[in-house]
Amino acid sequence: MKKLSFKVNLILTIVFLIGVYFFLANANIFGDYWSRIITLIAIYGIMAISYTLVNGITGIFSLGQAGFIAIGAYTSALLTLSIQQKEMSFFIQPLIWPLNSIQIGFFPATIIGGLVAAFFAFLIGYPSLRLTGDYFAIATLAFAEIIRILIQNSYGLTNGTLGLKGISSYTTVWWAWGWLLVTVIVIGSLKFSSYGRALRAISEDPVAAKVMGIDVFRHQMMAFVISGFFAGVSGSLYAHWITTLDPRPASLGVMLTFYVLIMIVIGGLGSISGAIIGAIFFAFVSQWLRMFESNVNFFGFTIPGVPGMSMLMLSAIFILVMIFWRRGVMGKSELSWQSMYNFFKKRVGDENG
Amino acid sequence: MDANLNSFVQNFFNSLSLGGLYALIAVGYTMVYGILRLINFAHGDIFMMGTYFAFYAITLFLLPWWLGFLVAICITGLLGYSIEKIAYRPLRNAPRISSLITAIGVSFFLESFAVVVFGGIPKSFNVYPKFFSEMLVMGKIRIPILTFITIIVTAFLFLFLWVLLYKTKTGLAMRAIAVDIPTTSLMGANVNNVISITFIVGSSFAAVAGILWAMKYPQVQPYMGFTPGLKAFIAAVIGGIGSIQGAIVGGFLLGFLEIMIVGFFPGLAGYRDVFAYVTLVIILMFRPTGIFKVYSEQKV
Amino acid sequence: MADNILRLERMTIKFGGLTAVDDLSMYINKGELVGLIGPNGAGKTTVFNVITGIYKPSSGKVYFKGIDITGLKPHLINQMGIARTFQNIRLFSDMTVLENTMVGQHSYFTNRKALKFLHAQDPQKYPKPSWKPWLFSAIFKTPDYTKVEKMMREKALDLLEKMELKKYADLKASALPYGQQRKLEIARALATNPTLLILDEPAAGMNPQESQRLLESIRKIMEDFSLTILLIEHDMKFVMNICERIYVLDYGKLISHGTPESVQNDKKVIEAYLGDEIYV
Repeated sequence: MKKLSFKVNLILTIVFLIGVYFFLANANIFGDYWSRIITLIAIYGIMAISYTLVNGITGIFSLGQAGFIAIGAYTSALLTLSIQQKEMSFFIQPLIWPLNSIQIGFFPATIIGGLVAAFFAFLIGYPSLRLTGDYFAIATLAFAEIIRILIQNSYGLTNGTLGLKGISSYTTVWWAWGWLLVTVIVIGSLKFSSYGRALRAISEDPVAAKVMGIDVFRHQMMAFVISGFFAGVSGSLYAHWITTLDPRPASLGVMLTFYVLIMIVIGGLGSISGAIIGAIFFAFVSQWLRMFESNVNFFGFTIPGVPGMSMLMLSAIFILVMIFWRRGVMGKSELSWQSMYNFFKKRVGDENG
Repeated sequence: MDANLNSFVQNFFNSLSLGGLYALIAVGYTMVYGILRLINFAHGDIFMMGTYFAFYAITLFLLPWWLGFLVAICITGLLGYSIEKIAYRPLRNAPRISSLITAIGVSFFLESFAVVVFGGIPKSFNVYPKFFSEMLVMGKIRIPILTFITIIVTAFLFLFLWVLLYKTKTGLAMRAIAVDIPTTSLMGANVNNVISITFIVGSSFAAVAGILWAMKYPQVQPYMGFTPGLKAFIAAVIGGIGSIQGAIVGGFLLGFLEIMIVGFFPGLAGYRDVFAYVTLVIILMFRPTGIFKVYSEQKV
Repeated sequence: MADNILRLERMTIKFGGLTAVDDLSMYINKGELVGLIGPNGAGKTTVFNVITGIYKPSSGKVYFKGIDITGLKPHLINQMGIARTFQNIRLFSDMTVLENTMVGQHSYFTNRKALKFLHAQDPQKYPKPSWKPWLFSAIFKTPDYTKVEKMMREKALDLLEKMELKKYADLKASALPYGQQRKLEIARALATNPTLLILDEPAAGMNPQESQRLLESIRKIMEDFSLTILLIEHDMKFVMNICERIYVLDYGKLISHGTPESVQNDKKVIEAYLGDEIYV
């Protein structure tokens, strides 16, 4: 099978990116609702890619993703909210200094959100990564819950259960997809570097990796912190998309972690393109299934809507995938021009006999 | 002074009953982990389903309360059995992470099932005789009767468990499988049956805990199993995951911790759940094998 | 004595109530090929695990090139110059043959703490680590990094060629036939630039021809890479043919030590392997 040259790959990629650009530039053809969904897909994509870096590529099972997303969301929102808005919202307990007198732009706020989340990933990873598989999962879950409960109770910092309202809707299609591009480039470059090989080795057999000279702990921390950064970024983008934040379990708790887990399992644990595919799948399916939650008119019959149906079907799909199709769409490999060429060449070849 | 002693006694009995509930749920976690090395994330939701089964048995099928409770416990046992057979057994030879991920999926499936079928709005669990909500009054001390009932039921069930494990062949097989599956099956034990029984027993205990819980905090909603389930798991880890004595001790310990801390520092009530999580983190840092160490280093 | 590459002093390893290794002392000189044999369960792999830092001994010490490495972390010990293979093949099965080999070189270029330690031990062999955070270079594919990546790839291919595995370079490790997988284990260990190579049953599961070829390749790599080798083996012919000296372990205790001839005729060794039967 012919191997595509570097030039061909480059040209195809540029054409693809131009295509994506035009798609995004005209996204509002689809109407306000769908262009919002297209933005959401990019946000989900960042969440999924950052999560698959840890669970998929490095092979350590974390359940704390929602915690870092929440940290990024709250940090950036507290930085971009206007001072008047903060005074209005924080009526039980005023917001602490210096946050009550600062307001900065979206981009720096997102970066800071990511950095703060990365910092917490460092704090949490340091003790937790000493633990093995199951225990690590539970520890990260516990930490994520601790974060959520602290957010819920710190009225002076996060406005507690009242949440934050009136967050400016800064997240446009461009910001979201721009950050997604950055995430893909950074984590993709990491995966296809010497560090990527080290992480994959750790994911397969940590003891063998150690004996090959790899400082397993340090590399796991590295992956965990990088993942935390991008999770924080996705949180910031999410906050400025949904414009309100509240620390209820359903929005920023384990449920969110589970959503992202669905994305990466279906897309393929350890694949960046798989994560994006999973994000797209999740966005569409959850929107489409939401249809079942309100009444549907079907040839004159009204099928009553059933709230919660989308989650039910998603979790059923998830379980079926785990039992019958564990590798997901992409498995550990990536979508590449070469792989698509091989795939189509094979099909066409077969048909021509 | 007097008021403090009263509230202390009240808190003490409250801790016993809450601890008992945690212990009942924790035992299910620890038994499954001991045998399959699997954290059954769905266990807390089995607890929730048991409560709903009881609710509907009485309100929809109009069974007398005691029969409704009994039927609910049996059906929950069956539910545990089915989950193991359908979702966990196919993955028994897959990497452990896969079973863990699937368990999370089952957990969310049960929760969304409850939302769809039972409705997301919390329901009031007023399906039992008034007697259970009464208080026992001794001077200035008022203790709910339910507390005593919980303690008695819990003790009885643990006695039953002890008899099962140490006085029956099935129990012997359960203990053997917790140590070594291949050898035990070579010795003639039907591994699948024993695993099924473990799930049935664990789930039934969870159902009992659910019913008692719903009588104590009389509200049922689809996500009611998440926090108690997580805390019960933490209790199992504190006591030493894989050890049944550990689960029981851990459960009571956690119950005491929770009630006593809020008792002495009422301002911390909002952080009530955090104590369990923080305790978990501390235990995992310094003694991950828990109080009654079961698993030592793994050989390379 | 000064020629000691590896020295174990009164090593005892206990797991709970079980004493896996009891008061073992042994040494290996530079350039030797030493064998560690004994019936199953004698504790041989446990000794390897302690040498490579996976376990800590309950008492006793391990010296490598005169330095006390007892209880050091495995990756540090590897960076100092000890590499090993495993009894059950533990390749990174989802990675290609080439990637498996390149992984061994990752740490040389990225672990600053280890590099500093090594530079302090041997300034000639190990350059002073640069201040640059290598992670960023790797992510942003700086010219420095690209050069290093190219170098790692060339060295890995070179190594694979020496082990006659080059043609499998882009194949997934799990796709290799068994005998080649065992060779890849050795190639992977060699990629970490060891001074001492520890082989845990390298000929396990091989037929006589394969074992013979393996024997020859071991001799060759000893020469090519100026290695010292310590190996565990059950195949007696293999051991007697290749080892200069042999240590014999039984139930964790050292029961014999010497040249192949002397060990072969040692009554204690015969008893350990065969019970009380007369060895004909």
